[in-house]
Amino acid sequence: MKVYLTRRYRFSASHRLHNGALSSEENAALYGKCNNPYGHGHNYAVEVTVAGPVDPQTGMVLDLGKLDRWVGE
Amino acid sequence: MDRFDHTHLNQDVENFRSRIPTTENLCREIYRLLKVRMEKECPRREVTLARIRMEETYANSFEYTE
Repeated sequence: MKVYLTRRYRFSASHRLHNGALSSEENAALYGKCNNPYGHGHNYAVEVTVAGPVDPQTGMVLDLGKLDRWVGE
Repeated sequence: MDRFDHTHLNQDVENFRSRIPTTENLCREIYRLLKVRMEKECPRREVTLARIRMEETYANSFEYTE
C-alpha cells in the first residue's frame, strides 16, 4: 500500500542558457532570447512527490515539517 | 531550495559550474539532492522520492522520475 504526497514550493532565480563549447552565433541560434548576456529570471514552482505507506499511528506518509526542512536546504 | 533562491544559477551556484542550468537540469539536480537527503533520513526506504515537477513559466513544466 502506497500513498503519494505532493507539496509545492517556490523560488526565484536567474540564468543564462549558454554553451561555452559553441560560438556566439551558434548559442544565439540555439537559445534565442534565453542566451542574452545578462540572463533572465524565473519564478519557479517545484512540486515534490514522495511515496510511502500511511503510518498507522500518525495517519501520515511523512511529517510535512520534516519535508520542508529537507527541501529548504 | 535556499541554495538556489534569489541566485544567478550560472554564477552563484556550484552545482552549475560545468552544466547548463536549464530547467531540465535543475529538475534533475533537485531530485538528486533530495534523494540523497531522504536516503540518509529514511535508511529503511519506507518513504521514497517519487518525482520532481517544475514549472518554469505558465506554459512550460518539466518532470523527473527514476
